[in-house]
Amino acid sequence: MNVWRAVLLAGGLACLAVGTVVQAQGARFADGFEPVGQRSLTQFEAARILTQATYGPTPAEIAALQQSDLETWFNNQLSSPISLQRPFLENLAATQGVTNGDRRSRWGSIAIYGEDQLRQRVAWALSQILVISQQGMGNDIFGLAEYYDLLARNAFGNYRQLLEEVSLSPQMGRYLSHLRNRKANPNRGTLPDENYAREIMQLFSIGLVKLNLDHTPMLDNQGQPLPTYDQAVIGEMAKIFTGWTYANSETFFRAEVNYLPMVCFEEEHEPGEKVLLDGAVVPAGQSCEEDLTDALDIIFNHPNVGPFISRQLILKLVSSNPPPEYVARVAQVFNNNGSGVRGDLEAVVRAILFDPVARGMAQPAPFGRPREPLLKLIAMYRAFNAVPAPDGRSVNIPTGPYAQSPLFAPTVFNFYSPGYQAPGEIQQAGLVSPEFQIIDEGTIATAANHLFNQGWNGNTGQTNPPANRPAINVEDLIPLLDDPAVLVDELDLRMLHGSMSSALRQALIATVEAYPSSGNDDRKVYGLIHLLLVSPEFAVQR
Amino acid sequence: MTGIINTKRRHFLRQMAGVLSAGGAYATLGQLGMVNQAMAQGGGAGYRALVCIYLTGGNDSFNLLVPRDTTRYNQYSDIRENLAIPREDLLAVSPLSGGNYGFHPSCPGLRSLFNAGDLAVVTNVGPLVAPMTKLTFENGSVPRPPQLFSHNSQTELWQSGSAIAGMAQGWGGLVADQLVTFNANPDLPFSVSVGGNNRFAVGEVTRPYQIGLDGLIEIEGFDTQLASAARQAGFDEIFAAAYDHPFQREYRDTMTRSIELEALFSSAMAANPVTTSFPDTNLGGQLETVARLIAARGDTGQSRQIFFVSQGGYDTHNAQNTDQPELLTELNDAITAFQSALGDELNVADDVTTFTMSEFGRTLNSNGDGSDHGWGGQQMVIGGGVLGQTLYGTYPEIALDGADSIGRGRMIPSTALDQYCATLAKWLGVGDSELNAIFPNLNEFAAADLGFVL
Repeated sequence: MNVWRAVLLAGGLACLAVGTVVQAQGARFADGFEPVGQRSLTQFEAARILTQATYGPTPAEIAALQQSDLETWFNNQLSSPISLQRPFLENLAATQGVTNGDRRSRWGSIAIYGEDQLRQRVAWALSQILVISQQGMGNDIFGLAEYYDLLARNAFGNYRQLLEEVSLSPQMGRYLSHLRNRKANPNRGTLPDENYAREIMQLFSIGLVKLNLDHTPMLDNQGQPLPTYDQAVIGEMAKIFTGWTYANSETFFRAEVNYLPMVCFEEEHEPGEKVLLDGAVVPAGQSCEEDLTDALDIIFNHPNVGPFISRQLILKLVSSNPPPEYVARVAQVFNNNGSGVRGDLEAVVRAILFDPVARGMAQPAPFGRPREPLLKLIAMYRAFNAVPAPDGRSVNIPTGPYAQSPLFAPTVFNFYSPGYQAPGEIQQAGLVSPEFQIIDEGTIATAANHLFNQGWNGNTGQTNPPANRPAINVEDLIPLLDDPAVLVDELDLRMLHGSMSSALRQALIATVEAYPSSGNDDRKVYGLIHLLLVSPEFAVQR
Repeated sequence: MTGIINTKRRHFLRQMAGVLSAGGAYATLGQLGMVNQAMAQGGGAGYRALVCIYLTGGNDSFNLLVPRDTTRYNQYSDIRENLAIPREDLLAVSPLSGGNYGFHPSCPGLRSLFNAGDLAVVTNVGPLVAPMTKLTFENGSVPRPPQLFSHNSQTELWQSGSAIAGMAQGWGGLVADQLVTFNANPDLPFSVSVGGNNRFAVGEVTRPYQIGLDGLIEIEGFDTQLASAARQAGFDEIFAAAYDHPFQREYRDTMTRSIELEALFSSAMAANPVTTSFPDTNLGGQLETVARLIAARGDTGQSRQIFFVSQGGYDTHNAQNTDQPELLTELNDAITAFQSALGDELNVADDVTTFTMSEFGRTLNSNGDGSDHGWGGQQMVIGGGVLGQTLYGTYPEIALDGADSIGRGRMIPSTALDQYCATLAKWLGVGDSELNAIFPNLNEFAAADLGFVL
């Protein structure tokens, strides 16, 4: 019996307890005797899986998943061909100028229409952990696209490999300035740049304090958290990331900008021994590549990586405040996928989504996460069968209204911090609410207005829908205006996987009943969808 | 969403909608203004505001203000190598406190403000648990601030006003908690952030009103001809309801504040235009919004306020020689326009004090193309009430591993950020005993008031 199967068995018992409660509320949840991956699903369970593991349910995918099971769906996703950005943009560039708007549009097309939804959703999460950004990167459009493709390629791969490819990406090298980072020059008194050395540890792997398997901090005997490293380790780690520059460089400083893995000029690489985390030594006399291999092995094998990365992925897929036991179960899989392999992201993603905490339909508050503002837009397009723009590629993915956009974070600290606590009740309860860091009095309005304009002025019922975006198609819902309860229940399934409160249901039914009788049925339906899109219940992914 | 309707909130929303549709907001705001004037006769007389400019990333302030005397300039030039600014390019000043310094060449407006006595520089300020020397740093007899040199950790310290980790509130927010009753309508936000989310303005009672660079945004879609009455009723119902999840409540309350405050402040700002020309930059736009909010203070009934703006990009590990001049130009131009609006147009130059914060100074030592994360650094205080043309504190010895430095020119602060922040809080009106509650480590340091603003 491998590790995660044992976890699932343990989890099955927990499901049983949860299941009895839910059945009393209306039998939307099958009982928990079968392994979670193989049992049949209700349409609500199917919609919920698609909410967590894709860019949002579509009617067709809800139906298909309900005919299947989680295990089959997951395995199909693993083998689904990867959707890439860079090759697409390079093809586009053959006939026209290409902008970062085209890059973001390509991201949007993949998010809405890509078959490899799970891979892309994990890549989206990774793009918010291993951050680079268009801001500060100028117009390196193909490089940015290739970086995103790198994340997508490795989404089910091994975290060690991902860390290496990220470290050697010249785009990361530019963003965190280890590209063309030189060894110390005693004559000039310069020392290596510490930027990447610090952030690869603080943000990409181990964090600032030593962690238990469940991500709780280890404390010293005064109750203070134990730091993972000090400034001396940063200085030593900085030496590792010296000598690297663009591939195909004529000299260290003369090169064409490209997206190939960086290469190292030994004469610019810091020689000598480097003493890294917890005294681990990278010996003198090695090549750049050998130094990098050793350093990445040391980082990757630090016991923090499992809990640190596992928790971040849980936060970005399932819930902001996961029970420590859930984090520990996933981190255990990170540490060993059951076959002795550390860092297997496929197994980690599986452990996150198959866990009874993720699959339980009646998780008590505060289970769930604030829905990412930009993903509301994508979810809208998917739930309502958006028809591609006439040119088949234009998706308006803006940088402003949602305060997030693909590879557009303001700093390497992402759009929001995993530790952010909204002031007031959430903070007082000791909860974190990361995505609320970008949802304030200003952005809540800009997001609501962008959603409104994309749907109200972008649906197939219009005479001339705008050409620069997909148009949602609500024609199948228009007949239901005559039966508001059925209409609202359909929106509940597609947008809230059947979790809508009876009060919200009544409010939406009353809205339809109060509509004037005259025409514009497409907008009447969209008007209702928009109320739900901006509602407090849709604002939380549960 | 549960069936229990929060009637008070619903009533307020309806009332606001009614006020707006009847065009009656003016009357409401006018009444607030009268209450404000009545209040001004009592304890919270006049008007005062603090404006925090947060320089995100850690400004290399050893290039903001540089010693120009031969000895120290040569030390500076040797150590900073390619990062050093040529001596002849520095904008020379002769502080009343002595010495010979120069501002970064991108800062002519700041030099003018300095020479006019409206700008002071507080030198080598940063987080400290207690006064610290190189000896006590090395022997561990004085605790070090937690997670030195880490961006987000040091930002939290600066914004919370002490070197204590894990403070849930910011010092601006705690100050607002103390002074909010000075205002005619204490329910209106004391603090406004135009510069994004921050810890600084979060209090126990108060929290900042966050508005974007594009100003106040009204929710669209409910004045559309079709079915807007039905949709508005549905919206009101949804946002007046009770919810069982704290995230749902947070979202509901944010939306409610967004609508209520946009209606109120938009009217007040429209009634009090600001005509001073601001640079068309991110920071220029933020400070223009602040100027407009200050102009509207009479109508919103606010006699004490705190504002937060920010400027990113100061983490100059590379390309410092191209990036920092651009950043400082934007900063210089935005502050210059802001001071002009406050003084020439709004006549509140003495009533508004603007100050910088940034999470750390940087290494004196170059990494070849930039500088790395440091500790102590210089901050600026600007305003008519500032006792300017002066340096406060001690400019550190220009040495990589000297008495003030722990290596690479990372400076041990000689002034604690607690002192810096407390001086500003006191000026805004916080009493001595409350200062110690807001800045719990303040008693560790000699002067609670650095005296740079009256």
